[in-house]
Amino acid sequence: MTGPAPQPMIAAEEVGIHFPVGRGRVLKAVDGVSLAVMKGETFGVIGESGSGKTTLGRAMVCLEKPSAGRIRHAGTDPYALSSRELRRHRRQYQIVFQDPNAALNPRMSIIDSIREPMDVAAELPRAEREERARALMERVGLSPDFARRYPHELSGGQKQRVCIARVLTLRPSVIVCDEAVSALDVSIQADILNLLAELQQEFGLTYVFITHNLGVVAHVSDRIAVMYLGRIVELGRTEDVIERPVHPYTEALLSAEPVALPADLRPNKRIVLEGELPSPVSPPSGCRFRTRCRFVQPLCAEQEPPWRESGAGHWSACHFAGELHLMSNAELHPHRNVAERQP
Amino acid sequence: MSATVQQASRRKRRSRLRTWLAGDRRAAISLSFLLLLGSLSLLAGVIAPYSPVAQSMDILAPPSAAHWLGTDDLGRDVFSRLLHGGPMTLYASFLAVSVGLAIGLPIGVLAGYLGGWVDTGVGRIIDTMLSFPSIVLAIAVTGALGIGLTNSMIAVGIVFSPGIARLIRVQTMIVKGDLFVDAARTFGSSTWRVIFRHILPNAIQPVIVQVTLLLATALLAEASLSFLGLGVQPPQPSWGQMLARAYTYMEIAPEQMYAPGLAILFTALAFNALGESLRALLDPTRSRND
Repeated sequence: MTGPAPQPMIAAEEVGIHFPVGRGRVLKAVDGVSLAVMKGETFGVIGESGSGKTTLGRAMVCLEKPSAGRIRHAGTDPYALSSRELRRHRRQYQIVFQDPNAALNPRMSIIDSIREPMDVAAELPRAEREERARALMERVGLSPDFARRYPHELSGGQKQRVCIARVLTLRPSVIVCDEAVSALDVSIQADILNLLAELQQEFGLTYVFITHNLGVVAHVSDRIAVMYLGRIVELGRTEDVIERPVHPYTEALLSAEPVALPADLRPNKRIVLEGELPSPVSPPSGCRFRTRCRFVQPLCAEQEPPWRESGAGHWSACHFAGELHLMSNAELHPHRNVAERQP
Repeated sequence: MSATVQQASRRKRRSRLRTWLAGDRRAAISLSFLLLLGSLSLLAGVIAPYSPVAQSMDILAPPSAAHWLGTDDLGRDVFSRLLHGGPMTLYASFLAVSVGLAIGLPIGVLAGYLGGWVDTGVGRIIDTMLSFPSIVLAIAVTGALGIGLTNSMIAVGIVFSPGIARLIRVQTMIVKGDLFVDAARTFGSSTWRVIFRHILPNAIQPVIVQVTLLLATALLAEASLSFLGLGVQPPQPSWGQMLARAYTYMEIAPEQMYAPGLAILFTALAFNALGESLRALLDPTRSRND
């Protein structure tokens, strides 16, 4: 990531997003996050509930304004634009939300919802908008019969398809998928993931895939960032992070992935994290993960771990990165065929 | 094609109205009463057997074939006055509620949507206005604007506005947090579009119900203010003013009170019942399964 690299689609520079929680205290949902999402890639962000990954995703599409640092969209700072320019600019950066029920206006018919982004843009003649909306409905696998129906008449998976069709109407360059499949049945999850992969090919999309489901993120992402308590603790290419994790939290996440095997076949090398996620209002000193880390040393409480590169493009924030013997995904799940991950 | 769709949806809406009325007798009765009242008011000039202001020597007469509801203290036909008072009374109710909506709705939506110091400021003003006894405030405003039906009903509307503002403010705050509002923002929608297209349609239902209840309240307020001599000026009839006049002769001719009193009671009751039924109909947990 050195030298004159191509302009990233999204570049976060030391981004912090802080919420006041009363009595002068501040919740740092995202704290000093830097990353770069390159054109055409699928960038996975993984972390448990409360790690700040959704807030980070919302910041990427200008729904939260960074309290510190900057977010640049292909070199432009969206907050430096006038409000009219920002409204134009942000059409390039779309988001698919976790809950498709809440993301659709219950009083608008499906076709109206899908057409809405184009109505806002008002760049195409009306008939063409209608036509494109219908074409996209078909493209995401929705029967034209649904056009005049209302969201409550559709299933969760169908609604998520509507949301996907809706963001595609603007021909965006980046789509942030915020837990886009977590609310759906497992069988439908696979359908939607495959649909997203096809659309990426077709429209040359860049994805930011935010999820707590390691299986999903490993399946679709080129690179993964692991978040813990508002910070990125590890970032690298998917196979590196999964096969050679260097942060103990990543190892614990890999271990926590459920295994569809009977108990006596399951490996008993599980690493179970003790305790709860500490409060982001008063995070632990030094390394934030130290309160739950099985390798914790006195140094961890004293100093913040540096952000270091341990392999080509494989970064992590741990004092002992590379020195610990961490188990890889293959060791944690010996019964699973690694090839199964390959597309 | 769109014409047929529109026609179909209109037909669907009409049949839905019919099923609703068939299933809810209270709503059906209230609605037909109000429709009857509306048409009687419109046709008052044609139906009324006498002029509402024509006096005769036949004073405080009990109901008879010539005067169905008797005559008042100046020998005017009570039935004719009741018919002519109807439009006055309805006009008064709708005027008051419209003024209340015109003031309360935009203020409440803006306070709820913008939040921050706008919300705090508006909240203080609303609390101040709500802390006055409403009829006293209405009298004070009427005093400032000048006596007369229109002025007094504008005053009542001003008194209604903080309640409406508070209701729509809370609704706006709830809907504002919904994901579809965030989604609309990422499409680059302007604030006005977000408010009119997404927030208002999802926040307005409780206000619709509140309006029907306020219509009843306005009716009673008109009666009170006319009773106090601040509303309709004689000889123009209005129900409140008729009641006020009848009250003076309560000991001699108590039956004078019945006609305007019952008219006010039934109309208020019909508005209230309709409001209750609308509330049940618009409850989202119920509309899911229709």
